[in-house]
Amino acid sequence: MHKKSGAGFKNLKPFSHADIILYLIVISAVILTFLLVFFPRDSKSDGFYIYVDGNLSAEYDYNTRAFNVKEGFDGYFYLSDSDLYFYSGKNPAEYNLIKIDAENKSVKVISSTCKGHDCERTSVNENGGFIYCSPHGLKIVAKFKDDTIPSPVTG
Amino acid sequence: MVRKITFCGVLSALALISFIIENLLPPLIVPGGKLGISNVFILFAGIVLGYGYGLSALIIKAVLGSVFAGNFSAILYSLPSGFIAFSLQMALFYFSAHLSIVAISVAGGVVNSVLQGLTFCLITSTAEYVIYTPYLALLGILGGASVGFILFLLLKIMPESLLSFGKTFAVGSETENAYNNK
Repeated sequence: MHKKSGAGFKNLKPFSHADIILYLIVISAVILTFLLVFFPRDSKSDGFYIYVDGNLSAEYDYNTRAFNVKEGFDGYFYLSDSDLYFYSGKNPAEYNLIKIDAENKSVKVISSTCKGHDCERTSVNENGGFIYCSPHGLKIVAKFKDDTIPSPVTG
Repeated sequence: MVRKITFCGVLSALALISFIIENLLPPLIVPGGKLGISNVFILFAGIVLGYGYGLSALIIKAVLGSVFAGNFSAILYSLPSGFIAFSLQMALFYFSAHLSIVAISVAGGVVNSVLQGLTFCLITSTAEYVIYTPYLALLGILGGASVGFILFLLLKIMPESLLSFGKTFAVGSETENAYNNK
Protein backbone atom coordinates (compact mmCIF):
# COMPACT_ATOMS: atom_id res chain seq x y z
CA MET A 1 0.00 0.00 0.00
CA HIS A 2 1.76 3.19 -1.19
CA LYS A 3 2.05 6.07 1.21
CA LYS A 4 0.77 8.54 -1.38
CA SER A 5 -2.86 7.52 -0.94
CA GLY A 6 -5.63 8.03 1.57
CA ALA A 7 -5.38 4.62 3.23
CA GLY A 8 -1.59 4.60 2.88
CA PHE A 9 -1.31 7.62 5.16
CA LYS A 10 -2.61 5.51 8.04
CA ASN A 11 0.48 3.33 7.80
CA LEU A 12 2.94 6.21 8.15
CA LYS A 13 5.33 6.03 11.10
CA PRO A 14 6.85 9.01 12.97
CA PHE A 15 10.31 7.50 12.71
CA SER A 16 12.17 5.15 10.40
CA HIS A 17 15.74 3.86 10.34
CA ALA A 18 16.60 5.93 7.29
CA ASP A 19 15.93 9.10 9.32
CA ILE A 20 19.14 8.52 11.27
CA ILE A 21 21.25 9.39 8.23
CA LEU A 22 19.37 12.63 7.65
CA TYR A 23 19.48 13.63 11.34
CA LEU A 24 23.24 12.94 11.44
CA ILE A 25 23.78 15.21 8.43
CA VAL A 26 21.67 17.99 9.96
CA ILE A 27 23.30 17.76 13.40
CA SER A 28 26.80 17.70 11.87
CA ALA A 29 26.02 20.81 9.85
CA VAL A 30 24.69 22.63 12.93
CA ILE A 31 27.75 21.70 15.03
CA LEU A 32 30.03 22.87 12.22
CA THR A 33 28.32 26.27 12.03
CA PHE A 34 28.57 26.66 15.83
CA LEU A 35 32.29 25.86 15.71
CA LEU A 36 32.84 28.39 12.95
CA VAL A 37 30.96 31.14 14.78
CA PHE A 38 32.44 30.52 18.24
CA PHE A 39 36.00 29.91 17.05
CA PRO A 40 38.21 31.62 19.68
CA ARG A 41 39.35 35.15 18.90
CA ASP A 42 41.88 37.30 20.62
CA SER A 43 40.44 40.72 19.86
CA LYS A 44 37.76 42.53 21.82
CA SER A 45 35.58 45.31 20.51
CA ASP A 46 36.40 48.84 21.64
CA GLY A 47 33.36 50.57 20.23
CA PHE A 48 30.49 50.32 17.81
CA TYR A 49 29.30 51.65 14.49
CA ILE A 50 25.85 53.04 13.73
CA TYR A 51 24.54 52.58 10.20
CA VAL A 52 21.45 54.30 8.85
CA ASP A 53 19.94 52.82 5.70
CA GLY A 54 23.20 51.02 5.02
CA ASN A 55 25.40 54.13 5.38
CA LEU A 56 27.92 54.50 8.20
CA SER A 57 26.58 57.48 10.10
CA ALA A 58 28.34 57.49 13.46
CA GLU A 59 30.78 55.60 15.63
CA TYR A 60 31.45 55.45 19.35
CA ASP A 61 34.59 54.55 21.29
CA TYR A 62 34.15 53.03 24.79
CA ASN A 63 37.62 54.10 25.97
CA THR A 64 37.55 57.77 24.98
CA ARG A 65 33.73 57.99 25.14
CA ALA A 66 33.93 59.96 21.92
CA PHE A 67 30.92 59.96 19.61
CA ASN A 68 31.86 60.82 16.02
CA VAL A 69 29.11 61.69 13.57
CA LYS A 70 29.93 61.30 9.90
CA GLU A 71 29.46 64.18 7.51
CA GLY A 72 26.20 64.09 5.66
CA PHE A 73 24.26 62.27 8.35
CA ASP A 74 20.95 64.04 8.58
CA GLY A 75 19.54 62.19 11.58
CA TYR A 76 19.58 64.23 14.77
CA PHE A 77 20.00 63.06 18.32
CA TYR A 78 20.40 64.05 21.90
CA LEU A 79 23.38 62.66 23.78
CA SER A 80 23.68 62.54 27.54
CA ASP A 81 26.29 60.59 29.48
CA SER A 82 24.74 57.27 28.64
CA ASP A 83 21.56 57.78 26.66
CA LEU A 84 21.36 58.41 22.96
CA TYR A 85 18.11 59.32 21.32
CA PHE A 86 18.41 58.23 17.77
CA TYR A 87 15.89 59.82 15.43
CA SER A 88 15.82 58.22 12.03
CA GLY A 89 15.69 61.67 10.42
CA LYS A 90 12.58 60.84 8.46
CA ASN A 91 10.04 61.36 11.23
CA PRO A 92 10.88 62.85 14.64
CA ALA A 93 8.12 60.79 16.24
CA GLU A 94 9.93 57.59 15.24
CA TYR A 95 12.93 56.91 17.47
CA ASN A 96 15.19 54.34 19.10
CA LEU A 97 16.45 55.08 22.60
CA ILE A 98 19.96 53.68 22.81
CA LYS A 99 21.65 53.18 26.16
CA ILE A 100 25.44 53.10 26.17
CA ASP A 101 27.28 51.50 29.08
CA ALA A 102 30.87 52.61 28.54
CA GLU A 103 31.97 51.01 31.81
CA ASN A 104 30.86 47.52 30.74
CA LYS A 105 31.44 48.29 27.06
CA SER A 106 27.95 47.49 25.85
CA VAL A 107 25.10 49.20 24.04
CA LYS A 108 21.43 48.28 23.89
CA VAL A 109 18.19 49.70 22.53
CA ILE A 110 15.92 50.10 25.55
CA SER A 111 12.93 51.67 23.84
CA SER A 112 11.71 52.12 20.31
CA THR A 113 8.61 53.10 18.38
CA CYS A 114 8.98 50.40 15.74
CA LYS A 115 6.55 47.53 15.39
CA GLY A 116 7.91 44.23 16.64
CA HIS A 117 10.66 45.71 18.85
CA ASP A 118 13.18 43.17 17.55
CA CYS A 119 15.94 45.76 18.04
CA GLU A 120 15.37 45.65 21.82
CA ARG A 121 16.08 41.92 22.06
CA THR A 122 19.78 41.98 21.15
CA SER A 123 22.75 43.94 22.36
CA VAL A 124 26.31 44.78 21.34
CA ASN A 125 29.24 44.37 23.71
CA GLU A 126 33.01 43.87 23.58
CA ASN A 127 32.55 40.31 22.33
CA GLY A 128 30.42 41.41 19.42
CA GLY A 129 26.71 41.46 18.74
CA PHE A 130 24.28 43.01 16.38
CA ILE A 131 21.28 45.34 16.66
CA TYR A 132 19.01 45.89 13.70
CA CYS A 133 15.83 47.94 13.40
CA SER A 134 14.31 47.37 9.98
CA PRO A 135 11.53 50.02 10.08
CA HIS A 136 14.00 52.74 11.08
CA GLY A 137 16.91 51.52 8.96
CA LEU A 138 19.13 51.43 12.05
CA LYS A 139 22.00 48.98 12.43
CA ILE A 140 24.53 48.88 15.27
CA VAL A 141 27.53 46.58 15.08
CA ALA A 142 30.64 46.13 17.19
CA LYS A 143 33.83 47.77 16.06
CA PHE A 144 36.84 45.46 15.97
CA LYS A 145 40.44 46.40 15.27
CA ASP A 146 40.96 43.33 13.07
CA ASP A 147 37.45 43.24 11.55
CA THR A 148 36.75 39.66 12.75
CA ILE A 149 33.24 38.24 12.73
CA PRO A 150 31.45 39.15 15.97
CA SER A 151 29.65 36.64 18.19
CA PRO A 152 25.89 36.75 18.51
CA VAL A 153 24.59 38.30 21.69
CA THR A 154 20.92 37.93 22.51
CA GLY A 155 18.79 39.41 25.29
CA MET B 1 -11.18 19.19 -8.67
CA VAL B 2 -13.68 21.49 -6.95
CA ARG B 3 -13.29 19.52 -3.75
CA LYS B 4 -9.51 19.83 -3.97
CA ILE B 5 -9.69 23.59 -4.52
CA THR B 6 -12.10 23.98 -1.62
CA PHE B 7 -9.92 21.91 0.69
CA CYS B 8 -6.87 23.90 -0.42
CA GLY B 9 -8.69 27.11 0.41
CA VAL B 10 -9.52 25.85 3.89
CA LEU B 11 -5.92 24.79 4.48
CA SER B 12 -4.64 28.15 3.22
CA ALA B 13 -6.95 29.95 5.64
CA LEU B 14 -5.77 27.78 8.52
CA ALA B 15 -2.13 28.42 7.58
CA LEU B 16 -2.81 32.15 7.46
CA ILE B 17 -4.57 32.20 10.84
CA SER B 18 -1.80 30.22 12.55
CA PHE B 19 0.82 32.50 10.96
CA ILE B 20 -0.91 35.62 12.26
CA ILE B 21 -1.29 34.15 15.76
CA GLU B 22 2.36 33.10 15.80
CA ASN B 23 3.34 36.59 14.70
CA LEU B 24 1.75 38.02 17.84
CA LEU B 25 3.93 35.85 20.08
CA PRO B 26 7.47 36.90 21.10
CA PRO B 27 10.31 35.54 18.95
CA LEU B 28 12.21 32.36 19.85
CA ILE B 29 15.99 32.29 20.31
CA VAL B 30 16.80 34.85 17.58
CA PRO B 31 15.04 38.04 16.42
CA GLY B 32 12.11 37.07 14.26
CA GLY B 33 12.42 33.39 15.15
CA LYS B 34 9.22 31.35 14.93
CA LEU B 35 8.37 27.62 15.05
CA GLY B 36 6.44 27.82 11.79
CA ILE B 37 3.31 25.93 12.82
CA SER B 38 1.55 27.27 9.72
CA ASN B 39 3.73 24.91 7.70
CA VAL B 40 1.65 22.02 9.05
CA PHE B 41 -1.20 23.02 6.76
CA ILE B 42 1.04 23.80 3.80
CA LEU B 43 2.79 20.46 4.01
CA PHE B 44 -0.58 18.78 4.56
CA ALA B 45 -1.88 20.36 1.35
CA GLY B 46 1.21 19.29 -0.56
CA ILE B 47 1.08 15.69 0.66
CA VAL B 48 -2.68 15.09 0.38
CA LEU B 49 -3.64 17.32 -2.54
CA GLY B 50 -0.44 17.65 -4.54
CA TYR B 51 2.55 19.90 -5.07
CA GLY B 52 0.63 22.65 -6.90
CA TYR B 53 -1.96 22.99 -4.14
CA GLY B 54 0.67 23.06 -1.43
CA LEU B 55 2.57 25.74 -3.32
CA SER B 56 -0.62 27.78 -3.69
CA ALA B 57 -1.24 27.55 0.05
CA LEU B 58 2.35 28.68 0.68
CA ILE B 59 2.02 31.71 -1.60
CA ILE B 60 -1.33 32.70 -0.12
CA LYS B 61 0.03 32.42 3.41
CA ALA B 62 3.19 34.38 2.60
CA VAL B 63 1.46 37.21 0.73
CA LEU B 64 -1.65 37.66 2.86
CA GLY B 65 0.25 36.99 6.07
CA SER B 66 2.67 39.81 5.30
CA VAL B 67 -0.25 42.11 4.46
CA PHE B 68 -2.14 41.36 7.69
CA ALA B 69 1.02 41.49 9.81
CA GLY B 70 1.88 44.88 8.34
CA ASN B 71 5.34 43.77 7.30
CA PHE B 72 5.38 43.71 3.51
CA SER B 73 9.12 43.14 3.27
CA ALA B 74 8.69 39.76 4.96
CA ILE B 75 7.43 38.42 1.60
CA LEU B 76 10.94 38.87 0.20
CA TYR B 77 12.46 36.76 2.99
CA SER B 78 9.82 34.09 3.44
CA LEU B 79 8.69 33.31 -0.11
CA PRO B 80 11.99 32.24 -1.75
CA SER B 81 13.13 30.20 1.24
CA GLY B 82 9.66 28.73 1.71
CA PHE B 83 9.51 27.71 -1.94
CA ILE B 84 12.88 25.96 -1.83
CA ALA B 85 12.15 24.23 1.48
CA PHE B 86 8.69 23.10 0.37
CA SER B 87 10.04 21.79 -2.94
CA LEU B 88 12.72 19.87 -1.07
CA GLN B 89 10.12 18.36 1.25
CA MET B 90 7.92 17.28 -1.64
CA ALA B 91 10.90 15.81 -3.47
CA LEU B 92 11.88 13.83 -0.37
CA PHE B 93 8.28 12.69 0.10
CA TYR B 94 7.78 11.52 -3.46
CA PHE B 95 11.19 10.07 -4.20
CA SER B 96 12.20 8.60 -0.87
CA ALA B 97 10.18 5.62 0.32
CA HIS B 98 12.16 5.31 3.56
CA LEU B 99 12.11 8.72 5.22
CA SER B 100 9.40 9.50 7.77
CA ILE B 101 7.17 12.59 7.72
CA VAL B 102 8.98 14.00 10.76
CA ALA B 103 12.41 13.70 9.13
CA ILE B 104 11.14 15.30 5.92
CA SER B 105 9.68 18.16 7.94
CA VAL B 106 12.95 18.62 9.89
CA ALA B 107 14.93 18.81 6.65
CA GLY B 108 12.55 21.42 5.26
CA GLY B 109 12.49 23.34 8.54
CA VAL B 110 16.27 23.68 8.72
CA VAL B 111 16.56 24.69 5.07
CA ASN B 112 13.74 27.24 5.44
CA SER B 113 15.16 28.87 8.59
CA VAL B 114 18.74 29.09 7.34
CA LEU B 115 17.78 30.31 3.88
CA GLN B 116 15.44 32.92 5.35
CA GLY B 117 18.30 34.28 7.47
CA LEU B 118 20.70 34.33 4.54
CA THR B 119 18.10 36.01 2.30
CA PHE B 120 17.64 38.66 4.98
CA CYS B 121 21.42 39.24 4.99
CA LEU B 122 21.49 39.64 1.23
CA ILE B 123 18.48 41.91 0.87
CA THR B 124 19.29 44.23 3.79
CA SER B 125 23.08 44.09 3.30
CA THR B 126 23.55 43.10 6.92
CA ALA B 127 26.21 40.43 6.78
CA GLU B 128 26.41 40.45 10.58
CA TYR B 129 23.13 38.53 10.77
CA VAL B 130 24.91 35.46 9.40
CA ILE B 131 26.19 34.84 12.94
CA TYR B 132 22.70 33.72 13.88
CA THR B 133 22.82 30.89 11.33
CA PRO B 134 23.52 28.14 13.93
CA TYR B 135 20.62 29.31 16.07
CA LEU B 136 18.38 29.45 13.01
CA ALA B 137 19.36 25.89 12.16
CA LEU B 138 18.50 24.79 15.72
CA LEU B 139 15.17 26.56 15.49
CA GLY B 140 14.58 24.84 12.16
CA ILE B 141 15.13 21.44 13.76
CA LEU B 142 12.77 22.27 16.61
CA GLY B 143 10.13 23.74 14.33
CA GLY B 144 10.46 21.00 11.74
CA ALA B 145 10.10 18.26 14.35
CA SER B 146 7.01 19.95 15.84
CA VAL B 147 5.42 20.42 12.43
CA GLY B 148 6.25 16.88 11.37
CA PHE B 149 4.83 15.33 14.49
CA ILE B 150 1.63 17.38 14.35
CA LEU B 151 1.23 16.47 10.69
CA PHE B 152 1.78 12.80 11.47
CA LEU B 153 -0.96 12.92 14.11
CA LEU B 154 -3.32 14.76 11.75
CA LEU B 155 -2.86 12.16 9.02
CA LYS B 156 -3.50 9.40 11.55
CA ILE B 157 -6.61 10.96 13.06
CA MET B 158 -8.35 12.27 9.95
CA PRO B 159 -10.86 9.91 8.30
CA GLU B 160 -9.79 8.20 5.12
CA SER B 161 -12.54 9.86 3.10
CA LEU B 162 -11.00 13.26 3.74
CA LEU B 163 -7.56 12.10 2.64
CA SER B 164 -8.61 10.60 -0.68
CA PHE B 165 -9.29 12.68 -3.76
CA GLY B 166 -10.42 11.26 -7.09
CA LYS B 167 -9.20 7.84 -8.11
CA THR B 168 -6.05 7.88 -6.00
CA PHE B 169 -7.12 5.21 -3.55
CA ALA B 170 -4.69 2.61 -2.37
CA VAL B 171 -5.16 -0.74 -4.06
CA GLY B 172 -7.36 -3.00 -1.99
CA SER B 173 -8.48 -0.28 0.40
CA GLU B 174 -11.98 -0.05 1.77
CA THR B 175 -12.41 3.29 0.04
CA GLU B 176 -11.63 1.80 -3.37
CA ASN B 177 -14.10 -1.03 -2.82
CA ALA B 178 -16.78 1.43 -1.75
CA TYR B 179 -16.07 3.57 -4.84
CA ASN B 180 -16.24 0.63 -7.23
CA ASN B 181 -19.47 -0.71 -5.75
CA LYS B 182 -21.24 2.67 -5.85
